[in-house]
Formats: sequence, C-alpha cells, structure tokens
Amino acid sequence: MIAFFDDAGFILGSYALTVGLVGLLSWRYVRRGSQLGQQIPDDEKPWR
Amino acid sequence: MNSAPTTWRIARLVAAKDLRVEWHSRIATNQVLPFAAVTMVIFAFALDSDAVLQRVAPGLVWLATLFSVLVLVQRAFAVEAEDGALEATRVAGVDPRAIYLGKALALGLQLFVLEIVLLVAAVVLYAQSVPLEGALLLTATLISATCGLAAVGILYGGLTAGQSGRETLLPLLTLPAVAPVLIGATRATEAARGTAGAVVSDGWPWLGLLAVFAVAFGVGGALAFGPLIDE
Amino acid sequence: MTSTDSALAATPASPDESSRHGTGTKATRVLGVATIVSMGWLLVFGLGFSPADRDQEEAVRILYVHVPTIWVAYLGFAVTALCSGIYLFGKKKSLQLDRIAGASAEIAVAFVAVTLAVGAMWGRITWGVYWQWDARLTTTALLFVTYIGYLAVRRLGGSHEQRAKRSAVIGLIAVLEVPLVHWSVRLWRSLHQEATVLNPDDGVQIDGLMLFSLFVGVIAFTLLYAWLLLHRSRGMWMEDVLDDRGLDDALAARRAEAGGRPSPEPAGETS
Repeated sequence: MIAFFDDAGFILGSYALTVGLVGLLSWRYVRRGSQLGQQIPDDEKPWR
Repeated sequence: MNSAPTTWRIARLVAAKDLRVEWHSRIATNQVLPFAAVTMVIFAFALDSDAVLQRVAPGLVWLATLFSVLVLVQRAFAVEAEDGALEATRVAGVDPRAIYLGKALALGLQLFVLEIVLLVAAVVLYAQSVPLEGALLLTATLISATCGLAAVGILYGGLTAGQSGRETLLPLLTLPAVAPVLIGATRATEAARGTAGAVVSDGWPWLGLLAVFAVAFGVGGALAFGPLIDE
Repeated sequence: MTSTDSALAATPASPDESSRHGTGTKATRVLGVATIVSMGWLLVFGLGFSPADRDQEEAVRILYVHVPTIWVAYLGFAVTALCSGIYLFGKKKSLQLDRIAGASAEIAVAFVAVTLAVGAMWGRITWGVYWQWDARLTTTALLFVTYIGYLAVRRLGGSHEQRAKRSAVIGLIAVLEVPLVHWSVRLWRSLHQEATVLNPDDGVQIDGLMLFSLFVGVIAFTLLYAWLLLHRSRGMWMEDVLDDRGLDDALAARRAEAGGRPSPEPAGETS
C-alpha cells in the first residue's frame, strides 16, 4: 500500500511535469508571438 | 583547381604551415602537453586507488586526449582568426576541402604525439603495460581514433572560429559527437593491454567502429567545411 | 492602420491592439482546442480507464506520456533534417524552410527533455533507479545535447542566409552523428526493454485499452507539435523581419551620422 502511494507520487508527478513543461513552452511561444506581433502590422504577416 | 592531386598538395601545404606556426609559438609543447600531463596526475587524486587507476587507465588516457583536442582546436583557429587568414585563403579561391584536410592533418599529427606522451605517462604513473600481441591493435587504434578526433575537431573548430562564445560552443558540439571515439578507443585500448581479462580479439570490432567514424566524419567534414566557413 | 508606411518607419509604431495580432489564426485556434481536448482524453484514459499492467503495474501509465513524446521528438528532428536538406540541395533558398527546421528542433528538444524526465520517474518505479546506462537512454541523452548544440549554432549571429546555411549543415551532420552514437553505445551495452508495440511477434498481447491510451497520447502530442510549430515558426519570421528592420535603421542612422557617406555594415546584429 505504501509502495502504491510512492508510485502514485511519481506517476502523478510525471503527468504534472509534462503538463507544466509543455504549458510553459506554449505560453512562452504565444506571449512572444503577441509581443512581436505588436511591432508589425497585420497586412505584412503572411499568415493573416 | 579542384583536381585531387592539387587538393592534396594544398592540404599538405596548409598542414605544413599550421605545424610550422605551432612549432614557432611553442604553445602546443609548452602548454598543451603539460596540461594533458597534469590532467593525468589529477585523475589519480580523484580516484585515489591504485587498483581503480590500473583498471580505468585506458579511459583516462582518452579522456585527457579529448580535453586536449578542445584546446588544440582552439589553437588551430586562433592563429587564423587573429588576422583573418582563413577569410583570406577562402577569398583567394583555395578549395575549402584542401584547407579542411590540411588542418585536420596538422591537428592529427599533434594529437598523435600527444597520445604517445600520454601513453608513456600511463605506463609510468598508472603501472600500465602493453603485451606484444596488443601492439598492432593499439597502433591501429591510435591512428584511427586520431583521424576521427581531428575530423570532428576541425569541422566544429572552423564553424565556431571567430564567433563569440566559441570557447563554450566548441565543447558543446564536439563532446557528444566524439562520444563514439571515446567509447571505441577506450575499449580497444583495454583489449590491447588486457585490462580486466579482455583479450586482443575483443578489440577489432571497436577498431571497426573507429575506422567507420573517421571515414564518415572525414568525408562529411570535407564536404561541409566549405559551406560552414563561407560568408 | 492600413497605411504601409508604418512598416518602413524607423521606430516601431505605437501598438494598435485591434489590428496587430500575434501568431494565432483560426487554424491555430482549432488546432489548439483539438490539442486541449485530446490532452484531456489522455489524462482520463492514461490515469483513469487504462488498466494496470501485469508486470509494470501502475507505472505503465507513465509510458502513455513517455512514448508519444519521444516519437513526436523524432518526428520533429526528422522535419528539421528534411527542411535542412531541402534548403541545402533545393533550388529555391527559402528562409521559411530554415525557420521551420529551427522551430521544429526547438520543440523536439523540449519534448526530449520531457521524455528524459518522465522516463527517469518510470525507471525509479520499475528499475529502482532513475537512470541506467543502456543504449537507448544514453543515445537519447546525447541526441538531446547534440540538438542543444544545433540550437546554439542557430544563435551564432551573422546574416539570416548565413544562419540558414550553417544550421542546415549542422542539422544534416546531426543525422550522421546520431546513428554512429547509437551504434557505439549499443556495442557498449544494452538492457532497455525492446519496443513492444513495433515488434508484436513475441506473443505478448497488449491490452486494447492500453494501446488505445497510447494512441490517444500520440495524437495529443502530434497535435501539440503542429500547434507549437505554427506559432514558433511565425514568431521566428517576425524576429527575422524586426532584425532586418533594426539593421536598416542602424544603417540609416550611421549614414545620417556620417553625412551621407556609405558606411560599413554593422556585423552580428542578430538576436
């Protein structure tokens, strides 16, 4: 039973770590995108 | 211009020039060799056991070689970068493959001398000995590992030459790339001297790895060097 | 904000919230929603519905993250190599290829970091240690460092074309390097359990729900990769444009200073 909780910590921790890292990366990309986007008018951006 | 004999002739000229410059500066002999030797001494401090030292001696020799490669590569391009000589030879239309081969040849010769010195140091300091039947394997290992190290070193040295942050970028690029050389050369050397019950025949697959590595990076480097140092 | 003059203006024009958007579009929003939904499914199936494994017990749940992240990382590195190859050997030298290669490598490096961290936790439960010196782990660690080096080369500076050519060459050399590393480390030692999904001939049947959870993981991380790639490559496009503009401004300022005399280009103006 104790071993189970020990394992559960690692299992939940691994999911939390993944979501955290991936979320941080996504947030940074989007924020950087909007910061840069402020400096360039939309009609220059090829994707708009 | 690009015919093979000319390329080879220019490569030898470049190598001779590099070796002459290095000989006159005396930095390789007065600084790099002592650096490698002191590395061998401090390994003994860190490991602090004669038995362990004897067991891991082949690895330590190659580790010390690897550290020295980084220093020697920086040297090989510091000479060029100071007065823009690399740029000048490129602008003069010298085949980049010839520059690459020449510089790799010069580095390889320096490394070979350094490895001999380190092996002697290992014999003296770490109580190593090489049985006669391992001598051929050891020689072949030295040559092919040196070719591989020189091929990688000059390739990444040329890329980072003259860039800010080259002192840190060079090891970052080089060390993971030469990991196969460290593994292969260490195992082959262990086989050659019979460390931990290894026999000489164990060493030949590792020699194969080293040879493939040297050829792959030699060819890849010669092709990639031009675009890498190009403006 | 319809005037194109502002694009050529020396200073960045004042931000106009309504007409200056970031890297998001309708496509990324749809992808983003799909990513979040599939990640939710992954959590539900991976942590909830999927049964415990006979041998690995609950630790198998970690593999629903561990395996997809490394697969998608390999996909990312393959995209980097492909774009590098097309850039070097193709006729049209499009910087967009270089930016996709760079963005893809960046995302893949992040995914490898996740794989290694999560794998260490799996190893702690299953093997009792965080790390084992086996072939696949060691190769993955060296792959990680190799591509960190690739990303460092991208930041070396110089013109965009220089960066593109240099990093394309390094991107292809990495492809030469990784098999050599893998071969040497495999000769060295190997005790990682063999991939069971790809060679199912050893008689072990994977539970349907487990396979489905793994499948959900692959979908989720592939969608995430695509979403991140769109955002990052667009961000890199803007970085390049602003960089060029900064260079133009610096040149103009220098010319004005020198009283119209042409001045040498300031070198290494990249971020």
